[in-house]
Amino acid sequence: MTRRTRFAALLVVPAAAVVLGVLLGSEPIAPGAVLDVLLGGGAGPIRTIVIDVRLPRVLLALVLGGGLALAGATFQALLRNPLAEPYILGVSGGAAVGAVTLIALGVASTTSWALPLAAFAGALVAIVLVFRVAAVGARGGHIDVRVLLLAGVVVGAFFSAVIAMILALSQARTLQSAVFWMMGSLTTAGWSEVAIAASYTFPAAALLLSQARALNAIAVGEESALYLGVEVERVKWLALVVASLVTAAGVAVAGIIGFVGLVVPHLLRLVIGADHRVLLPMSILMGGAFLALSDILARTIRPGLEIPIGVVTAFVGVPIFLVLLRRSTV
Amino acid sequence: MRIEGRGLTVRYPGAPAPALEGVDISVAPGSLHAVLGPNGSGKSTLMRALLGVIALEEGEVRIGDRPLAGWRRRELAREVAAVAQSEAMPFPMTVRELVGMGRYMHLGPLEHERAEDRKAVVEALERCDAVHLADRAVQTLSGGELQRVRIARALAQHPHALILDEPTAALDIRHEMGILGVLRGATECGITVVWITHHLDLAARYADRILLLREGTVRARGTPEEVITAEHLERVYGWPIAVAPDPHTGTPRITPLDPAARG
Repeated sequence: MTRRTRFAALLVVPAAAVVLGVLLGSEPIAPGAVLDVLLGGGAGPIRTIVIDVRLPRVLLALVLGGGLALAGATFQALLRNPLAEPYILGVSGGAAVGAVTLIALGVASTTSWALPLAAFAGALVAIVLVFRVAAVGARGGHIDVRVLLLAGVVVGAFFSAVIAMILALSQARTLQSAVFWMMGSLTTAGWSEVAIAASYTFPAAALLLSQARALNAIAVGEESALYLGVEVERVKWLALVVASLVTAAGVAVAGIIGFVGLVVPHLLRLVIGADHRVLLPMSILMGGAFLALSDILARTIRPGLEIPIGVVTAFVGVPIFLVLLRRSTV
Repeated sequence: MRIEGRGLTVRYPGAPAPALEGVDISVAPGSLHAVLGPNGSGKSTLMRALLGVIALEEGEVRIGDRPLAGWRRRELAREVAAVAQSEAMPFPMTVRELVGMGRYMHLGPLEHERAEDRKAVVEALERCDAVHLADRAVQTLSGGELQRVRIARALAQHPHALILDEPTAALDIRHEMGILGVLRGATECGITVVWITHHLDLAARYADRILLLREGTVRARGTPEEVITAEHLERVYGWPIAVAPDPHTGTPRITPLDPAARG
């Protein structure tokens, strides 16, 4: 298959995810009725379900999944390791602590534009903490990525405990459950969630896409990247901060959803290679598709009951993580 | 393009002794300058110092007409190409993509590769006898093949100066001589070359000037005939060495002696 046909074949996946996401649900609605609503017709409960429940939910999955996969691909390039991912690095956990804290203090509701910023602050704290912990074991200023990932997992576990504690102690009745924050959920999806997530994710995506060549160079080594004309320190910090912001926006809206950033870029590299000018945009598209499909599974596998979406992504992601870990020679 | 370092002193954090101490180097435009010295003598550190990758404790570097601080990275990469000793290849990538990175500094952020960029990549691969590798995945290359591809990437930059850290260390005789031919050819086009190597014979044969380092300081400098002497080499390498003119080339040839066998 040539590259072009591979792209075309891949693009079928997000399209199919959108169609299935709108068609399928706990409430059986005939495809014809759904189409009717989308074309402006229909009325009553069916219209409400399609326009205000299913459509925003699919779009939210696209935006969040795209953002998480984009953040994962970015972290992987910066750390030159395919195992790096917002969830594994503890960034998602930090973001959740930031969001939960703000809600518990009664400062923000779950559909607040400021919530992603609180999550962002938490994500930055997590990054600094994880790098600090990893730097303790570093020799000659060189951080061992394996230690960094281990630090991320440990810090992430600690953040989970912090979230559980805040939720247990908090008086706020508006709080989502601990399961919502730790395993993620798209149940709250509405148009305002879509708007919030998109308004953070799209500009961030544009910024990261503009750095695709620099990320290619950094992925072969910081010294070589400097020799190739990349302002490595500037790009590194910009990309770290922006990828954290994308992660934080997703966590603020739908809790911690792990492994999207691991699975999607890894599978894509096998098909289309590792040039970030292609990998980043495709990660956005396929990450969105992956999360939308995971969400369909989460809400239809047992009608009337929802599995947390993070369960689905973990069931796919953990085996791939283990394969990558075995193969990793770093 | 002249490359000049004066009084270069570098100390790595936590290291008791400086990695470089008061090193002067001046590489004339269009000349081939070899940097020699035992392991840990500061050769790679000197390269990083000249290219501004590590902070200087003291000293200053001038590239062309300006101090190093006056260069932006992108600008510098258009003038000076460098090949580090090694790099990571964590992700699948073709040789063409890797060598294509040698054109990044010539492209605007949203600009696509032009025909001349693709041509520069192929030409550079040809000069390094690697054009048949163009569509291979870099992970499948042997050490020597990867080395040639990375040199090709530096050539694709179309620089006015080249700095290479042991570029021929992993190469067989044919490809090593091929790369030396490329470097000599580059100097004939006016390109300045700094060549870090352990290959004393070849340095004596091909370099215009040689800098001999030990423990971060300069122990000898000058033409090959001035630097490649038994006296200098024995002192720097701590090993008995004989030097005699090579019957085929007339340049100094090094023979490491065996003290036990010599009695």
